[in-house]
Amino acid sequence: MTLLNTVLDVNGAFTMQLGTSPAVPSSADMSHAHLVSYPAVAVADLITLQSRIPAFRKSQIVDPGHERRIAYETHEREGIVRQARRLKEYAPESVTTVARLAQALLLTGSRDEAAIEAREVFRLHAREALEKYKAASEMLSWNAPSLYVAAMVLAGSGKASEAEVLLSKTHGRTGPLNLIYAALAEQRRDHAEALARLSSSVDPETASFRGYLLLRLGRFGEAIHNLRIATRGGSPSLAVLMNLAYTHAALGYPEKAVRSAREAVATFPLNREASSALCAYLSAVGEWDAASSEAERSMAASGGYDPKFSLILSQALLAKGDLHAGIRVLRRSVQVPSSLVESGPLADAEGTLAFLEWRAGSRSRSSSTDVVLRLLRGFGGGSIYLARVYSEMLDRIGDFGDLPVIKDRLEKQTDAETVLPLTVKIGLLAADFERATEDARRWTSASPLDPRAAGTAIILLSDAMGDSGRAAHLGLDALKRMPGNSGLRNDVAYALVFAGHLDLAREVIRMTDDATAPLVATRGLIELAAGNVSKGLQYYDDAARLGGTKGQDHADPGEFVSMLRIYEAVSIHRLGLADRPEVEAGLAELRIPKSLEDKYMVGMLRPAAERAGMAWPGD
Amino acid sequence: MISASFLIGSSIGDYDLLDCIGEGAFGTVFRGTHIPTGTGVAVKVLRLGATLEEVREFENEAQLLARLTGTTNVVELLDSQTTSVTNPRLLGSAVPFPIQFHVMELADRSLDYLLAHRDKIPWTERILHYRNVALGVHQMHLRDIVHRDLKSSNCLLFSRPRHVVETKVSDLGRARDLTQASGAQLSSYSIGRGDPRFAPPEFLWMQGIDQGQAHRCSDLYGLGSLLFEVATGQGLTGIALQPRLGIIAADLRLPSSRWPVKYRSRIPEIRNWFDVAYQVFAAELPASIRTEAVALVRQLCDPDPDRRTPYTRAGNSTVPNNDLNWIVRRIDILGKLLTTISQGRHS
Repeated sequence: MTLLNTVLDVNGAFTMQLGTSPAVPSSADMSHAHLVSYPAVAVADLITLQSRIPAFRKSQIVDPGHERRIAYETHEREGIVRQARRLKEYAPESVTTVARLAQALLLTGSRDEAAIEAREVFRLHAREALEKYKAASEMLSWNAPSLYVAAMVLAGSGKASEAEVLLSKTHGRTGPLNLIYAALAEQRRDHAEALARLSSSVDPETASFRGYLLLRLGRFGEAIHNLRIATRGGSPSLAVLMNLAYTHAALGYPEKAVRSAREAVATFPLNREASSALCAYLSAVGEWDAASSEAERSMAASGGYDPKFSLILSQALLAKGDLHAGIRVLRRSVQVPSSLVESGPLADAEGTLAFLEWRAGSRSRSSSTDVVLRLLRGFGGGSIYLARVYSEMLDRIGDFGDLPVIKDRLEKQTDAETVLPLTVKIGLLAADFERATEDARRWTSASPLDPRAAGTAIILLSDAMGDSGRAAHLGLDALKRMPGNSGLRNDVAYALVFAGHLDLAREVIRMTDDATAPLVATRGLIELAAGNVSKGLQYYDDAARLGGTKGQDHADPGEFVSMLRIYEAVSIHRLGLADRPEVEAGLAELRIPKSLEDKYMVGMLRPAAERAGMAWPGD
Repeated sequence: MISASFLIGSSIGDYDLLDCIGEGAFGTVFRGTHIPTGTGVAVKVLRLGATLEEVREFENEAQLLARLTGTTNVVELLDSQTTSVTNPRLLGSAVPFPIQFHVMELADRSLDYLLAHRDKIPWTERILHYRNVALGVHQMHLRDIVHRDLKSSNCLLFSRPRHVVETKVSDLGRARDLTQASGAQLSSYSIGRGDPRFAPPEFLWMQGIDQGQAHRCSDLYGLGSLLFEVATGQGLTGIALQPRLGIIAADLRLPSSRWPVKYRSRIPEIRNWFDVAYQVFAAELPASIRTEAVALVRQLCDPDPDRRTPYTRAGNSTVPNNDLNWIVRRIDILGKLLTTISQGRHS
């Protein structure tokens, strides 16, 4: 059997199967484990305090802290700029005074003027460099602090590319200048260029940044070497610890990943990212209880109403198979007044809740879709997470909904790599399986800890493209990184069967004691492939009973059973068992319900059936 | 703001105002002459239309300077008055209006002007200026006065005979007498005021509090930041935290009741954010003092205010709260390291 644990994962909150229906909350994944970029954040956040101050609205309760801050800014800034101007007037040729003025102007909101002064810093430095070079032939590292400030000011004024050009012309860049120069390349997602710009310096900051860039380039072995250098300073940063955990996981050592993530949590006990990463790694090794405890601890530490932790806790509960407990947690979190929490995570929690309620059968698909779309429109285009929740609700060929528009919008805000899950989904909905397979493989490389990426690539390769050998290879690699993910185990075992590695398939599936319908069906597939036809069919019947029972996470149990039977029939043909008398009756009864005809999951299976010489029912 | 620069060329009290030598947030400083003696003085005039809080701070400065009379490294107050002037050009009538002003000893310039060309200033001289400022703050703390706005532009240089240059702490507008009850709103302590490029990080998260030890710790940060400025010409907070302003702004969008926890949770990260600034700093230092100077600034500028003073393993402070001699001693070590190496080179 097959059951695609693929295609539906919502950034790992749960793993679902079979397109529309039978989503079995299986193992959680490591989507909360992510790279932490120190300098990239730095440059991206080069904006003034002033530009972030929310405007006062009428009838709004005024927080005295905010009021004070605004009063402070309007009152004090004139003095700060005036003082900086006087200093510049005194020494107009000094890069120090000009850089000070540039930063003062930026801090008080005069971005254009700040940029003019920042350019002047570079001009003065170039002139001075020329004079000194002629005079003494000495190479330069002076003016580094002022150049650093000027580059930050330019980037903060929205002129990052200009800062990059000016830095490229600066001779004698010191460590920090190289860091900012590399960060500017990283900001436009040119990881290779950023890496090339970092000198061979082995200071912890540079090593940390280099480790991050190597991770982005998928060079895990070199990354771990650099990240270890970065820990030698004695107090490794959050970014180093989390990236170290990520690297361990990506290299297939999830226990080590847990260890590094635990160290990050111990050092940064109130940090949300560290805590969510630890939960993800604990889930990856199957320690659901520890993951729930960590989520509960963090939630309590953050005041008990942080929706991000509600999502993590609900994920841990789903992973343990308790869909309703997961829903209860999310319901509590969305009842918190929106003024107390960040809007992004709250929207994510609300969207996930609507989705899960649909999966649990307590809400219609259209109502859930409406909720998620409303959130996507309301939250500045929405998060990639929410967009993935939305994409899970689309399963019919040709029915793209708003997905292309949402993808384009998010791609403009981020990059093509970030929206790969949406790109793959659009390929599936367009029934362009070849393109979807290519994109899914890129997605797997870009997100090595996302089981949905690996699962989608496995099923596309095995079914749509008929390359089960490559699917199995890709799957076994992924399994090393995410051994606790039973959904992924199911997909890998499925591909291994058709690649002819029956013993390995048995071994992979034995490692999980889950008794979900997809896993039971895959056990049936293994028995069929081993020639134990009656036993295999019995497993399929058990899976159908299990999946068709209310209480499992199947929005439509009937649809799940129909899908299961289609997979069973196609598999029988692929294994060359279609002429066995035991299967005759079942194959004769096979019908594809109208409701499933245009599902892309069925579409993906059709090329496999054609290759096996199976006459498609209804044709 | 109505500038007081129209006063140039006029007299107030016993003083002729010759030219404007500085303008701050709430006043203008003039070069002046004491008419009876012909002595050069600095006259700081409160801006017209100052708020009540500014008036209070201005008066507070005079009181504190008076209390610090006789200290060697804090600028000396010579006079403080309120008088009235008329200026038909400005106000359109000859109605007199009040002017508040302080008279102080006249400096040659402030330390930031010297740092504009810091590559021409030998390190031994820079360390000497820095030591003088540390002594000034030490003298203030011994009298239970905290400065709360230390930066090079608030340190004045005075030429003395035999090419001696003295450095003194000035601009006590935001200073606080810890023996007196606060006259300011509590919220004015949370943000600390002043220039954010030099402010302690807790002020950026609005976590300053009106409590003696907290104020002393903010001065320790100011001293660390000043050494950074002496080396780089730029503000430590500006370099370390400007790239993070987006994060700070996002934290401050949370309800203010959550800011304290948010700041505490950020402290390990903030330490990491400062690391790049310390690299910038280290690259500017002579090799002989690099390790010692970076260690000193790291300690004085720890984002956790409680960790800015030396502690024993048991967590007890090893020095009295108001005694900054330990900093002066460490600066002396820097000076010693510089001269030892320099002598070694000559020999």
